[in-house]
Amino acid sequence: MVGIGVAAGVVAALAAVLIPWLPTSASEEMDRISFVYWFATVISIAIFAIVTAVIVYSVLKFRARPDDESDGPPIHGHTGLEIVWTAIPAILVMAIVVVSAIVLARNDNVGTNPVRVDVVAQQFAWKFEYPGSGVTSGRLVLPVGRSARLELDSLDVIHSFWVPEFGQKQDAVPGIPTRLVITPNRLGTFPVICAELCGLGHATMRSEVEVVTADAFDAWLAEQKQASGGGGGASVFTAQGCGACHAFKPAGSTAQVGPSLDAVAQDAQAAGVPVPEFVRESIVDPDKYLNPGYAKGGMPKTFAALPQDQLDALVEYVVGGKGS
Amino acid sequence: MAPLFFGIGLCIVTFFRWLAGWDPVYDWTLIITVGALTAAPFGFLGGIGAFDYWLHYLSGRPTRPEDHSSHGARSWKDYFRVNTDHKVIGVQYLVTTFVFFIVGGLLAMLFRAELARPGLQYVDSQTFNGLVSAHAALMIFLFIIPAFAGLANFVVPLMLGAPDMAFPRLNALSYWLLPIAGTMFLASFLAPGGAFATGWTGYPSLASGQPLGQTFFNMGVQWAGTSSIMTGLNFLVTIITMRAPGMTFWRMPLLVWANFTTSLLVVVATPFIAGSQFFVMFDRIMHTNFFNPSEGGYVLGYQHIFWFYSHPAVYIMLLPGFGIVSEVIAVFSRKPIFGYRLMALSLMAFIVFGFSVWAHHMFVAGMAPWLRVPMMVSTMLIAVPTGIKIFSWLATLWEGRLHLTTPMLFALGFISMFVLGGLSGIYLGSVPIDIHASDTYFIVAHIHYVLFGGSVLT
Repeated sequence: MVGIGVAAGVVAALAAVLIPWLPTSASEEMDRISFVYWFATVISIAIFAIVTAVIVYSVLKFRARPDDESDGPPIHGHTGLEIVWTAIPAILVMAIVVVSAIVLARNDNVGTNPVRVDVVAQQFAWKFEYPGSGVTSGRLVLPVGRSARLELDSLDVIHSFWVPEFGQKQDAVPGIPTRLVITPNRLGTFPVICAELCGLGHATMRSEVEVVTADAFDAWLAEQKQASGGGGGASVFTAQGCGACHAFKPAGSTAQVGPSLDAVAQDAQAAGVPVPEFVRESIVDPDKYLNPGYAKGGMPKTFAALPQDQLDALVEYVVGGKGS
Repeated sequence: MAPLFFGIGLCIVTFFRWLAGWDPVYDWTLIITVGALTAAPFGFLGGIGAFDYWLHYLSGRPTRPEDHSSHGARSWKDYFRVNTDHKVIGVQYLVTTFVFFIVGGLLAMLFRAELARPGLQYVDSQTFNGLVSAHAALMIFLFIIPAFAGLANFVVPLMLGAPDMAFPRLNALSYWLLPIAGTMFLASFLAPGGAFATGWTGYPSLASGQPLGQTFFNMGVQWAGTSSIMTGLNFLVTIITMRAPGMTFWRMPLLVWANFTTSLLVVVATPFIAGSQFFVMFDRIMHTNFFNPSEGGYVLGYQHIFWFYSHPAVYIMLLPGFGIVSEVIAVFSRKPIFGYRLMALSLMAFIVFGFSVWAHHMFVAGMAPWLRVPMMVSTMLIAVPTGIKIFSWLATLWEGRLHLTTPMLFALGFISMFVLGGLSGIYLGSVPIDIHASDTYFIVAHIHYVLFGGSVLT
């Protein structure tokens, strides 16, 4: 029986180790989460091995012969054994609780001098605001090695901010500000995924987070501030987070959630409408001209409320395909 | 009768709207809600005769004690009528729930076909979300919970030595509420705007603005929940008062213990989901602001109320199966169940713990951060009674004379698969792991291992 248990344990351990269950960690929080995960895995494999061993052994050893109608021994219980198998799981499970509580406290600890980012979620786009610098962006950019404190808010329904490689996730709830702490420790670009069903466009509600060096981060912030400070269409483009969904070379965005704005001239021609009118209508009434392959309701309708001068500047920017 | 009552509902709505001078007088959303979803089912139930005895009693007409045959079915047609015999009702439940199992399974097959390749091929987004939501709603409210109720209806009075359930007429009524609820969930696909597309959890603020199909879900839950509560009450009274002379609580079979504890869960918890659905429905139809943050509503309130039922709900879906497995393993090992007292006590432990863990469904929901740690502790502690049961079943097998009949094979399969599902639950009980795994397929996997391995295999 011990042999069966060991075999089951080994198979389970191989499955646990060889298959990449968790994404490659890119944050301190994910490192700690991975630790708890493996701690729980070791305990789980042990329990699984014991249960498998007993079942398989029992089925093999205690199976009655076809003509055997005798009863098994009238064993009603064994207090000592029952105490043991109540106490040991309780202890194991409490061990996981203690480890988890410590990890949770550390993961919630925002540390000193975090980067402050306000995350605004709406159907179906993310917007990231850096209150310290007055910068707004459709993509999240964070410096490596420094903790970031994300304050989440939603404009309509419940959304949820999640980056798998960072491990951390938190719902963005209308009316209730929520908070998330992330300390990236690896450079790279990772997906930002909405993890709470928020309507028909939920599956497309994605953005990206880029982790850069501290210097690159400061440079990026300065560049964004300058671009938005200059006024004009480019700043409206960044402030409204258009780049989160639309690729547009002048703005340097490469997102593929919505149609590429570099192709706006062809799309307008296909719709049989002059380009400026096409762009304006697509911002103010997004479902009016639907590009083939895109469903209704994907683009937020809130941009209709933009002030007239901002809307004009934005249209000019997109149509022109040049800087503001 | 049903169309008549629908007509009455329509008239009530139209009359009051005319009286109040609201425009338009014919508001179809309200008419469907009041007429079709509330009044018409009452008409249907009255028409098949579920209320006959009570109405006769109220109006002073002579009542027939053997009303609707309390001694079994004489022909197959009796199964389609109101019948108060517990065995007939048990069969009605089992057949109906298996029909909904097949329908719910087909819905799953439909959206699995859609998922086979990237992009949308067969259905649009609204229908896809509707398929997923209806799959879950049917499986939970119209398959697992009532199927166990049906089996227990058949078996528990026999195990207690009772002639029937304590309230046979209530029993019959609670069965007939089920087809109504199922029809409502399925009819939501025909509502303008499509089926309810918020997932079976139906969170506001998303649910508050959804088209009419969402109200079908809100109401369907009420009908199914009422059925569940009536049955739970029936079992509690039967088990407490109608045991054969000499059968103390500690001599009852474990299946009866399991149904007793399940019924306690049902009776206490189900009103909460009814409440949560009423709140959402009122927000939707009557423009109240329970979950409207801009008017002072508290969005997370729904989640707390909803999960306060829905966590005990998973134990409602599990405990009767535990009872069944205890009986099956003991019989087919030709040995008494190991540790009877502790098994019964662990069932009671599920009630206590089951009510104290609901917020583990909300670890990332944005509730008060301090609440997560006590919820984590109580969630992890549920592993203890679960472990007791698993080890006791294994000890029952030990040194037995195992007959690997079909029921025994199902029971053994249950232990293996349920242990896997339960272990994944331990992962999810840890808040940091749950933060990463919430709202992902890890949860879906956990659910289906424990529900399929746990509830369906039993």
